[in-house]
Amino acid sequence: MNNNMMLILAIFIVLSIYDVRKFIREKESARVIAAYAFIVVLSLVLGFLISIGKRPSSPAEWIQEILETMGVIK
Amino acid sequence: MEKARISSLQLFMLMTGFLFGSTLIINPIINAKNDGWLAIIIGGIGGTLLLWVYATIALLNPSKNFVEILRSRLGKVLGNLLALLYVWYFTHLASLVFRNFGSFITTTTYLYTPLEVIITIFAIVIVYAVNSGIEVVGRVSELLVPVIPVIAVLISISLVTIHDFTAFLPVLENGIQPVIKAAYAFLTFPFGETISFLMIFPHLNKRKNLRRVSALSALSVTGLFLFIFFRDITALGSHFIYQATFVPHITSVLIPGINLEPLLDVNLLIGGGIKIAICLYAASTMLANIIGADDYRKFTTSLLTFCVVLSIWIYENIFEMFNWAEKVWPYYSIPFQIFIPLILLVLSLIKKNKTTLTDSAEQ
Repeated sequence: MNNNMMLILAIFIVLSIYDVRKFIREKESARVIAAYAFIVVLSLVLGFLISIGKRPSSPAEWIQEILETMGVIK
Repeated sequence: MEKARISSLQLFMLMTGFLFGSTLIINPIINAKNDGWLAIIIGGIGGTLLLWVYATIALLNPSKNFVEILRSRLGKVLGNLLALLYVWYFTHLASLVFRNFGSFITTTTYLYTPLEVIITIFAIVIVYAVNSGIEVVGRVSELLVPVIPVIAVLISISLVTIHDFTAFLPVLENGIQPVIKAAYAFLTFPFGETISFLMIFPHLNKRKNLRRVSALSALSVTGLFLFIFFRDITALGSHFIYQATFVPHITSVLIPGINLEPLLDVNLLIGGGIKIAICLYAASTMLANIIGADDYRKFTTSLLTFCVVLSIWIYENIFEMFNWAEKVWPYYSIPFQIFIPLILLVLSLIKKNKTTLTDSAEQ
């Protein structure tokens, strides 16, 4: 397990909790909270997968594959 | 929209810092070998034209930001969809720059510090700057960007005893094709990335200076890269430049009796910091516009968290990073940097002509 990555995820969780507190206090709209939660949860899940050594294939690989399929790059 | 105002000088500094960014780390002209100077000149001229296109789009749509331009020219649905793609593009770009710096610092300076730690410390400073507003980033760039050429000149002066002025000869030994390819890579990285400034241009206090400021910063950066290229090639030789991973780092360690390498790191951190800050600002303001939030700061932390994770996820190693930047990035960027802006330019010109014709008919 990558402990550094876990530590960094913990830092970002603290920063996100601080934001969520502000959202609740200011009665933020559901759209904003949903978008925020989607990005943060996605990041934390990906970060957790990387930290336990189960890195999914990255967007760089997807983009490269798409461009190769289109014949733009060899 | 945030009611911040930046001066022409601040915009010039922001653009110069952004263009300097991580270009020296990735070195897009490397494949042109000793004809790199030609690639820099061709790419620089192309880049100036591209910036002129972006500035013209902004001038044809006064006081509108990029999301509003996309919506008004392409309709609400397609406009929002493309704006979302640009949010991805700017977030992706910020994460690539994070990774470039993380890899550079962990390979050259902090050999025993984990990549994740370097990137996170850098990220926390940047989110603080972005949350302070674009005016603050502009003022910081006014103070820090002038340091970049000073350090470049200082390193060059220190290397004055180590040079071979014939290193860039013979000219066009491998033909024009590698030069054109390298010039195109230089056009897309860094010039095309300034599309993110379409979210900054509405904050300029004197809009009539927009084209002049954009062209001036593109030409200044081209001049600076030419200067650095001649320094590196005369100090290292064309063969060594082609083999080296981080060329400016190798050049700076050649200086006898003094270690100027930290100054180079400072230079790259200034440029990289500004580039990531602009990308994060552009992505979060665009997302706030799409969702209808009143303040972009609501999304800076979430997007930054994603940027940091993406920067670690995106490549498995440093070689993959260089390979992707060289082979995939120039083609992946075409729709974002060239196609969509050109469509917007044409549509904006058509709209302007229609308005002019209607006005003259009414008179």
